[in-house]
Amino acid sequence: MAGALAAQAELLARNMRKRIRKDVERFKRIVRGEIRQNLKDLIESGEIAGQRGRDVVKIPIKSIKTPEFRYDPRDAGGIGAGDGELGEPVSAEPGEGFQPGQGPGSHAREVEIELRELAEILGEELQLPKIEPKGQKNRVESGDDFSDVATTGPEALLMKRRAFREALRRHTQMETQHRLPAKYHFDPVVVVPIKQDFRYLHSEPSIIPEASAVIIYMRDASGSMSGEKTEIIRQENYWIDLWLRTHYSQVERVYILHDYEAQEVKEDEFYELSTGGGTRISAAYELCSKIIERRYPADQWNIYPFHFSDGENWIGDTENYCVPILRDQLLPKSNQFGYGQVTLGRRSAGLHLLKLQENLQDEKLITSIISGREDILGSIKEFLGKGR
Amino acid sequence: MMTTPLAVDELEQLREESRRLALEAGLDPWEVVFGVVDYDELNEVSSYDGFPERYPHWHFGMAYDYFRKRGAYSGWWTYELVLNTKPAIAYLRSSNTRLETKGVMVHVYGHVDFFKHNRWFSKTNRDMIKLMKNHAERIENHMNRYGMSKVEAFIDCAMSIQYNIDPHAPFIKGRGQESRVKRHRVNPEASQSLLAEAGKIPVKRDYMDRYINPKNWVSERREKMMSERTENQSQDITELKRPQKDMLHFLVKHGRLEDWQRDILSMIREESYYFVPQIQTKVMNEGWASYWQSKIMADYADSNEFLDHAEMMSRVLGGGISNPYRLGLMIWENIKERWDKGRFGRDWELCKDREERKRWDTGAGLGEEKIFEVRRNYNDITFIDEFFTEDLFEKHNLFTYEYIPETGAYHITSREFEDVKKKLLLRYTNLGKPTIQVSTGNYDNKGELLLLHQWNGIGLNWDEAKGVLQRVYEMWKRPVNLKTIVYRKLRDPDPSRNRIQPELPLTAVQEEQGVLLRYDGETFRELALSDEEIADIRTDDIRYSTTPEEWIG
Repeated sequence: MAGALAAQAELLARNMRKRIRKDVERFKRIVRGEIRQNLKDLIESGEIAGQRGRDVVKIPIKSIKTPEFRYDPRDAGGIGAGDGELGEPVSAEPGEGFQPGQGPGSHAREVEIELRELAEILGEELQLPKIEPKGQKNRVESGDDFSDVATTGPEALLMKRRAFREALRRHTQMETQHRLPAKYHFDPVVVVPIKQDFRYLHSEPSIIPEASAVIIYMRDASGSMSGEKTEIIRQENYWIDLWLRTHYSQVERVYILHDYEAQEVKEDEFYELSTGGGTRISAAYELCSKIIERRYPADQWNIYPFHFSDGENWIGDTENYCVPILRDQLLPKSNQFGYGQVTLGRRSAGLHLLKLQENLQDEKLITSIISGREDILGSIKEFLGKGR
Repeated sequence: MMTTPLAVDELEQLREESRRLALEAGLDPWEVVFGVVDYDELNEVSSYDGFPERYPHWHFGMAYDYFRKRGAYSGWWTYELVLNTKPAIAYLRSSNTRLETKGVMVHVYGHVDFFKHNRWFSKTNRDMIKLMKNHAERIENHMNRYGMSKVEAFIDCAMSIQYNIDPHAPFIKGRGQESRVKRHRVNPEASQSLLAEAGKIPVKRDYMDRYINPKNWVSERREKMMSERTENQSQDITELKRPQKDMLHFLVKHGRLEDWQRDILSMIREESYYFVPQIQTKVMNEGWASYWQSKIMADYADSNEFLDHAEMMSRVLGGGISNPYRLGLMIWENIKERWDKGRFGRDWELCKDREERKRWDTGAGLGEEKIFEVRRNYNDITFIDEFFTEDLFEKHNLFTYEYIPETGAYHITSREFEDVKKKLLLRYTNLGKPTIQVSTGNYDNKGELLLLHQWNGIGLNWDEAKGVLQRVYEMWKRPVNLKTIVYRKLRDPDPSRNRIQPELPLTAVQEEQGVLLRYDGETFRELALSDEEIADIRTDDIRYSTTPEEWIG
């Protein structure tokens, strides 16, 4: 009889399936509607690109907020635990804290959006065509999927908590021969893990066929390119990255800074460093070409170089050096080559852009002029609108 | 740990076992029907608060989205969900291990025992599944007739004030649970006999009647009642004699609503009254279930199992006292210990010697009796007020903090027990929200709604308050007013003090200023009120600010 009841309870739960799907759909429609409506603002404010989440970003959504009569949190203050003198500031703005078993409540005004979802919305709103990846390759996955446990392994993968647990288990089992006394109130026990307690994270290597892409970001780092221009480039790159990421299971990134010379840098440095020297774009293109040749064979990689500058270049460099590298090396190997001219408040093409257009009639070369934040959305569409 | 799904008979065996353990420990729960669902289904169940049929609304979808992402990205998941119904229904996660299942079942029996015996649940509808289903059907009908988005939008409005009800109303005779407005006419004969009884104190034994209800006294009382009644009738019915907390009730009765809107509002009110005891006893209830789970499992699990159990508990009980499981469990254990050792009463209160208090043990052994008494009669506020003692406070290194506008940050303001307790109680008083009352529906004799914010020193979140007024306007259709108090800066802190005491976060001298916030359907206006005009909203309650005086000015 109880079994029948249990089955009944399960049935009740199954009935919810249909319902929840509809309710989720309507919720998503509200969220997506508002994001689509405000996509331009969201992109221009840089609110999303500033977040470091790997899988989700938080986006404020006005229409899901249910206002209620509530205290002003600034008037209400609160309680904390820990050390600190009177008058000392409390580090972060204290929230409600950890509340198990509680849903989002009606406080929620930010919604966590999976980047995948966000990319979809971006694609829908800009009507971006899907990319057909070229070149499938097999990759041996030994990476971050540590779902197994092994009794041997490298020190770095030792599960310390687990080791102590195993040790404690061994300890108690040894004592249970004569039943543990007063189990409810433990006296402190000293537990020392020995070799047999050690457990290590382990991952089975597996071979997965996949399409890989590399995005090569290049930026003019000379003095005239700092501040707001860099910020715009950061925004551009965030959305380009987001879109490409949804089409390839593996995306690598290369960052190249250049003034008169070019050098490969880390992501952080790419947006922070600026130099005083002149500008010779061909240095960057040359380095880019070399990196592709050495690390990213074109038959296995989908290659996306993007270059941003303010359009100034060493006299004669564009037509004499850049154009040949692009024509002979970069364009044939890449899916497309994007050049963005970032010139605040000016929409006329600079010399570099003019010369490129003059000398190259290749549809893989995509150029865009960004004269301010309001151009970012359009520029993303230009760069990604070809579906390459 | 790999687990295979539990077979029905194995589940049944676990149920038998954990039920037996619960009963042996002294719990007295209703029958519980356990359903085993997978991870995703548990998220669904949680989004609907456990009810298989709820009305369609996007906020359930939002809850689901939240639960799913919380599980996927923060690794935090739900072990169980129990419904306060008779028999109780509990959902368990199929991926729980055998041991976790046993522990969770004991936990569930703890909750159900609490539902059954705690006073605050005595008026809840135990057949809520049916009622929720009925609500779902009625609302779906309205949606089919008047359009999904229109109905959903109205529910959005109603949800803004869903907990603006009076949690004590079900316990006051003649108020409370009647949720639909009674429209039936009383037949004259019945009202005659009613009249004969009016003014009398009900008596069980007839022969006592003439002693308890002397004739003169009754007729005097009856006259007074009648005159009050006619007085009431001569006034606009929306003018209340005294302010009323149950805003939903007021709007159901007097709001300018279409029938379907009135119907929805009354359903939402009914659901709120069902959920409110759970919100009011969260700390106690979670603590109670955790207390019995850990006690029973510690006594009966074998040592191998016990370790897994301990780890599970440590996961659930993590975090500080803002985790209600933790706070509740801590207090329950403390009560048990205190009454077992006779640490209560006058002698104990008067004893100030630390060492003596530490050793104190009269061998009273009253712990068990006491905790069962407490689980019958208390709710979170009274529970914390009475049993969150200075001894418990001292173990946790707690402090209060306040926001200082001048530095733009929160600062530690006090480490005093009284201050910390005050702030802790604030979180649970009136569901942690400001008290708002309906004063009249005929404000200024213009049929405008007047709401009062009973002011305890903490201002309202202004933008949200405006949002609520806009939504209430949709239900009232005439201007809506809110009487409240805001802080006004009188003068900046003395800059020379900054040099002398740079370590103090100095703040401005402020003054309380009465404000009438008015929304007329188009714009907001803020009118300044004099001190006399706000006399009725200034409560004598404790003030919650803990900012030290020497920081001010």
